[in-house]
Order: sequence, then structure tokens, then C-alpha cells
Amino acid sequence: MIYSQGVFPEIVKKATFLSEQPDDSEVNNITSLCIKLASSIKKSIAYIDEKLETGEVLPEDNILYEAMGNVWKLAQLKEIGLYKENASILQLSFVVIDDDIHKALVDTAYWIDVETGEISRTENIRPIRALSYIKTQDSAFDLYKVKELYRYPGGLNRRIRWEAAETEKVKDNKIFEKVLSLAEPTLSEAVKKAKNELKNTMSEPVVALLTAFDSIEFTDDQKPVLKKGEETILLQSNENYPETCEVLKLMNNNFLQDGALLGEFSYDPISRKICLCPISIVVKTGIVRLV
Amino acid sequence: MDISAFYQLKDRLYASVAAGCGTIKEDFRLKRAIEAFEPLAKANKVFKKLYDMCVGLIDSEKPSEIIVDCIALADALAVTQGTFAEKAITHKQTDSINSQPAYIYSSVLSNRISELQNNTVVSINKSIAFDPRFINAFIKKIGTNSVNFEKCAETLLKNYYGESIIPILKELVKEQFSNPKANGKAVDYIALIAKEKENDFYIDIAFDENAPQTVRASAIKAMAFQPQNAETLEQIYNTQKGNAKKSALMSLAKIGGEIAERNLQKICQKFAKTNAEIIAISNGETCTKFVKDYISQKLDGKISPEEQELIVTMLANKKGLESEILAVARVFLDYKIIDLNDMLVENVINNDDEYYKQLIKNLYKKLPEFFGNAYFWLSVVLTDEEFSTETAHNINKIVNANREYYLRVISRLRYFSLEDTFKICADNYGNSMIDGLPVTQKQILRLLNIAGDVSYLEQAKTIKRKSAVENEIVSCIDISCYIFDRLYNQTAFSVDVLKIVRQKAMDFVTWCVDNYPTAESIVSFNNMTNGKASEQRPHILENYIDFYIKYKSRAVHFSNLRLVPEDILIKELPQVIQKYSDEYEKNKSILIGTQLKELNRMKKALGL
Repeated sequence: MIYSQGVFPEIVKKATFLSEQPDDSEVNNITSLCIKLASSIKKSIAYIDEKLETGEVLPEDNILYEAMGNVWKLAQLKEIGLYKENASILQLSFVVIDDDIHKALVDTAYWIDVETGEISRTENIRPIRALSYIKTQDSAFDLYKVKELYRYPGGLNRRIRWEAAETEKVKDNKIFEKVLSLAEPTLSEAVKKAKNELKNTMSEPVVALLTAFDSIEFTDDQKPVLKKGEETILLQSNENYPETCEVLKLMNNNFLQDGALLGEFSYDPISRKICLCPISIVVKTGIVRLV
Repeated sequence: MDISAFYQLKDRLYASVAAGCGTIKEDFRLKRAIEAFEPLAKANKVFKKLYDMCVGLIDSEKPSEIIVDCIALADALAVTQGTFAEKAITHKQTDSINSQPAYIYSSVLSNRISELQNNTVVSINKSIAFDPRFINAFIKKIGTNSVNFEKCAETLLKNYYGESIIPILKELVKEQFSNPKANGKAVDYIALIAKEKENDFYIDIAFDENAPQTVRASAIKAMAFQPQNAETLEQIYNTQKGNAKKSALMSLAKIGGEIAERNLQKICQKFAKTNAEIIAISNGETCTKFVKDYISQKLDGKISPEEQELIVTMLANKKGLESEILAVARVFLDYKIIDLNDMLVENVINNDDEYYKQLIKNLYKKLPEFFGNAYFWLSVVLTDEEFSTETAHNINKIVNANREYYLRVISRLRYFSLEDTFKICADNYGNSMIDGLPVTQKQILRLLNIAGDVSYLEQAKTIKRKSAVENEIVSCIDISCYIFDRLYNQTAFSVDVLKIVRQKAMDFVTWCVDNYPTAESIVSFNNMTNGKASEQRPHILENYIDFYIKYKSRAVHFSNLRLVPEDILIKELPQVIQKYSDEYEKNKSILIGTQLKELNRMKKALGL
């Protein structure tokens, strides 16, 4: 769950639903989360100590500020330079995630900066008990021109927000060709980028990247495989996108050639492999959403 | 480089946490794992860092602090060591279903998928039907026991996906092998689309012992499409048990012929009520003779409702039993007569055979009071034959006897964009045999002739006091107005047909407004004139009230006044109140006084 709050509720939930005779993977799952929590605490203590020593108490570009329970104001982000002027962004995917740990629905979208290729995300958190008071978001197909795009601290897939934006209808395919050109050119490069992010204890468990492909094909037992040159990777659905692989099976072949895949990379400790969950496909004529 | 020693160390570190950090000093397995890791540490700087931390861990006084760092580093290293290549052989997907992503909002698609999941599908447009996300949700629902979903599924399969979805359905069938509760719907849908073309597939499944019983039963039923399967079906019937056995006999009954007859003889000789369904399917000699004898026996005594139901079931698809049908009709309960009519209509729908049409005509001729319903549907909806004078007269008679019923059925006419066709929908009480039947525009015009008939209303004016008959008449007017109002702007009609529909609608509604007004007729008139009812009939409200006072000797109640469009009320209410106030002054009539009260109540409600 890409959701910038503490890991503690997740530990509680996993512990609550632990089976009577838990196997190694269940135990290791909780252990891993506890390690994450312990690391966060250790780093937070060091962070606070440093603040106290140096007297530099104002927040800076550091994920620990939010991890410790603080809430960023847009003015604060602007003050420390975490914003971009005149950004042009295009939505690549949209989904409503049911976060039952925090009892909320989260409107989650991935966006691409059409100038730099940076993939960011928006999150509109709607607590269940306050659903009727918070406006829901929806998919967007236009190009968003944002005067001031605020960027939260983080590595890849930073959370972004804005107060006002102009929208411009996508009139021709040039924008999609541009997006395609911004994709990671090889699987190795995409995986390397993902690994660099995933290995950090405090990073999210998934990293979304746009990866170019020659084709998406299927094994004999109908599992999708992304191919780029000689490189291949198995595509697997995850908790937030549980049916995208099945939707891929139904996709017209035209959309499975010479495109780019927006997917979430993650590491599976059981298979010891880097996994890729498909979310959207970009082709020359548009963006095909799998969810 | 073989790094299995690293993974073993990582596993041991996790195991140590689970066992408790207090035991680390004595954990010989952890020590062994660290020792085995040493060679890797010598070859790699980052592994060395982990090694050094683990060595420090063993003798540490605060192992819980150090082990956190060890595992954090081990996890990070594991990520960097993660591989991704997929070695399996792959192939391009063969284009099966010709899906096309729909560029629609997530909320719109989610709503349509929710409707599918909740079995409340009302309408789907083509672009959504072919979106792979929708198709995926649809495939996941196959197997649902819901009438609504099944109707939607049949439409999608027959009219949209067609044979292109068969490979996907076949995969679904294979997946169902692991589910003993699977209900065979996937096979039923393959049969619906492909019929005899997938005969080999049906046979494979029928004989596959790994398939669940219900899936095999569906496959056996589908074998009925191919008459050459008769011997195989007999083999299944003789060797299998349960659902498979029953399905085999049902398929044989459908195919007919010598093999079917000899096997059906057995169940006719030892009749059990559970076999009525099978006897119903067959139109062969054996079952026909059985039903004839059965009825003959039962007619000697009183026939219970359950037995009446059994007889109606078994009469389906039979030829040469006209006398028997007439005999049972004379002794059946009223509601069983309806079932009998339903059965006769279903015979026509399910069999491309003139015999069944002629049967209805013959039965109606002999017992018109019992078979009017079947005759009506045959003449109006199941054929496109022009009405003879006699037919028109008969239809009129049938409708006059039960007008409200026929109007209610006509009011359930709906246009289904997915199939580009009109149909009569099911009502709230359950399925009628006419439900879901496609109706042509020519047939709709015939039905609208019935809805637009005013001849019975001329005489109805003279019915004074409020009575059940009067209520029924008003109900008929209102239903007809509702029908015309809904169809007035139906763009699915051809230009010529829409012109005729609009003319009929305007003729009827205008006649009602002028001669037998109801609140509903005023509303419909106002809708059809685009809100200009007052311009075309400046005294429409006054006429409405006058009619009831003059012909029905009662006031128009507030609850009916409320239904009249507001702009008409605002325009006419003051002068109507004035008119009746003057009249009341003159003659102090109780009726006028009551009407005034209702009018003033309406005036107050409008804030005038």
C-alpha cells in the first residue's frame, strides 16, 4: 500500500490475522515490518537528536518528517523548494484502493511529467467515516498544466499535489509518442532503478516505472511476460491491482506490441525475484488502462 | 556466484528474531550460517559488512539492536541480488475476443461492473461491453445463478462476443475442474453460441472423469444438438448415475428417434414425477401416448393442483392431444388455465412448426373463454400475419374481457440498445412466457392500436358511482397514457413508425383530455405538447373537474389535483375556484362545496 503513514497499523493487522500455526512466511512478514518500524524509530531518534544539536528545527526534504506523524502544508513544501513551476503532467492510471488497515478509500493515480519523465503519484485519502464530506476523484484524460506543482519528500514516485491547474484536451498522438520516449529504455535499467529504491528500509514496498517493451506474450499456462530485446520479466498482479494480468489476457494484440508498460516493481523474498505488476500500457495512439 | 549461503544467513537471522534475541548467543545454527557466509564476505565488500555485523551480533550484550541493522542490511542486499528473467517459452496471444479499451471515467466503468456484480444490469453500451476490464468482470461472474445476470449474459454472448469468446469459456471450464461446486454454466454458454459446432468438446467433457458432475451434465445436455450422438448418449444413460444419467435422457428426448423412444419407454412404464421434465421435452410417440393415458386416468377423478401442474408440464411439445387439452381445460383451476396458455405459447416459441400455431387457433375456436390469452399472443406478437376481420373481432373480444391485464403487459415494452430490439420485460411477480420476447415495430403498432382504443370509453362515461369497473377504466386510461408518453420520443423507432406512434399517441391523449380526462392524461398531454397544454387547451383543468362533477357525481380530490402539472394549476386555479364559488353561492350543492374545499387546499399548497 502506497500510503505514507506508519507501519504500525499494518503490523497490528497482520498479527490479528495470523493463523493458529503460522508458517515461516507469515512470521517473516511480521518480522520484516517490525524491522521497518525499528529502523524508522532509530532513524527518527537520530534525526531529532541532530535537530536538537544543530538547532535547525525547521523541516527539510526528508521523509522522516511525515513518518514521525507530521503533516506537510503546501506552504512548507514551497518554502523548502519542493515544488515545480509550470509543470505539464498526464495521468497514466487511476484506482480507488480500499485501505482497510486505516479504514479509508484512497483515490490513487500515477502521473508522468511529460518534460522530465518523472513518475509521481496523487493520493486522495477518504476516511470511511467521513466519506460523504470528501470529494471523490476520478480518472483524467487531459494534459494538466500546473502553475505550482508541490512535491512531497521522497525518492521515486513522490506524492504530488496542486491547488489549481488548467487542463488541455489531448488533440493528437504526439503527446503519447513523447511519453513513450520517456520510458526506461531497457528492463535492466528499470530494474536497477527499482532496486536502488526498494533496498531502502523506509521506502515504499513498490516502485512504479514506465518501461519500454517490444511485446507482451504469454506462457503456456497463460502468464504474461514482458519482453524487451533479449530481456524478459514475468508480470504478476499485486494486492492493489489484483486483476490486471487477467485483463491483459483479454487485450487486443495491437496494444501488446512496441509500447511502454507502467508497472509496480517489488521484491518477493520467497521467490527472491523482482516482480512487476502491470497497471497501464502506453502505445502510440493512447494510454490503455488495465484497471 | 553461488550465494545460497547469503540466503541461509538471512533466513537464520529471521529465525533468531522469531525465537527471541535472548537465545542468539547459544544459536549454533546462526553461528554455522555466519561461518558458511565468510567466503562470500571475502569476495564482496557489501557482504563483508554484513558478515562483520553478524560476527558482532553473536557476542553482543544488546543483540536486539544489532540484529535489526543486520536484517535491514540483509533485506537490502537481497533486493540487490534479486533476479527477474523469465525462462518459460512464450507466444503471442491469439486475438480472440477483439476487445477495445473504452476511454471512460473510472467511476462510470466501476458502476457498470458493480451492476454486473450485483445482478442489476439495466443497460450497457457497446463500448463498455468490449472493454477488457468489463469483459474480465463478466467472465468472473459466469456461473452465477441469477435470472438477471443470465439474461444479460445471453445478450452479451449472442449479440456481441459470439464465437470469439469460446476459447475463454473453454479455459473457464477447465478451471472449474478444481471446483466440485461448479455449475456448468460455462458449458451452457458455449452451447448457446456454438450449438453443434463444439460437439467434440462436449463429448470430451462428458467423458472426463475429472470434471465435476454438473459440468459433465451440461456437456451431456449440449450433445443434444447433434442427432448422431444418440448412441453415445444411450451409453452414458446406461452406465452413469445422477445428473449425468438424467441429462443423457433429456438429450435423447430432444433428439428423438428410435433410440430415444426405447429409453423413454422405461421411464414411462415406471413413471416418477421427477421425470415429468424429460417427458415434456419429447414430442415422440411414447411420451405422447403416456401423457394421453395419464390424463385419461386422472380425468376420472378430481385432479389436484399439483397434478394439474404436472399435466401442463408434460403436455409441452406434444402433437395430437387437442381433445385432451380441451378436456383438462374444462376441469382446471383458473390459474392453471393461464399456465396452459403459457405452455401453448411456449410451444410456438420453441418449435418452428405450424402445427402449434394451428393448435392454438383450433383450441380458441372450441373454447374461446379458456384460450383467449394464447390466441392473443399468437395473433399479435408471434406472427406478422395481417389480421383477418375475424381475427380482429376475436382480439377485440379478448381484450375487452381483460383490458387492464393486456395494457399492463404492453406497458412493459422496452427498447434494449445492446440488441437493438424491443422486448416485453418481466413484471415483478415472476416470468411470463412472453417476457423477453422480441417484438417488431409492426407488432408494436398493433399493440398500440389496443392501447389507443377509445371505443370502450364512450360507454364508460355513463358509469356513475365510483366502482371497481370505474377504477379499472381509469386505470386503463392511465396505463395507455403512460405507454404513449414513454414511446412518444422513442428514437429507436424508424422515422415512419415514430410518426405513426406519435399520431396515435396524440389522438388518444387528446381524446381523453377532451372526453374522459384523468390527471395522467393531462400530464401526458402536457409532455407531448412540450409543456404547452394550456395553450392548446386553455380550460383543461376546468374540463377535468367539470367531467367528474357532471358524469361521475364526485369531486376531484386533492391527491389527483396534485398530479396536474403546476403551470396549468397556477394558470387556471384562480378562475376555476371563482367559477365554483359562484355556483356554490347559487345552489349550495354539497358536491360543489366539497370540490371547492379540494381546490382551495390545492391553492394553499401552491402558495397562491
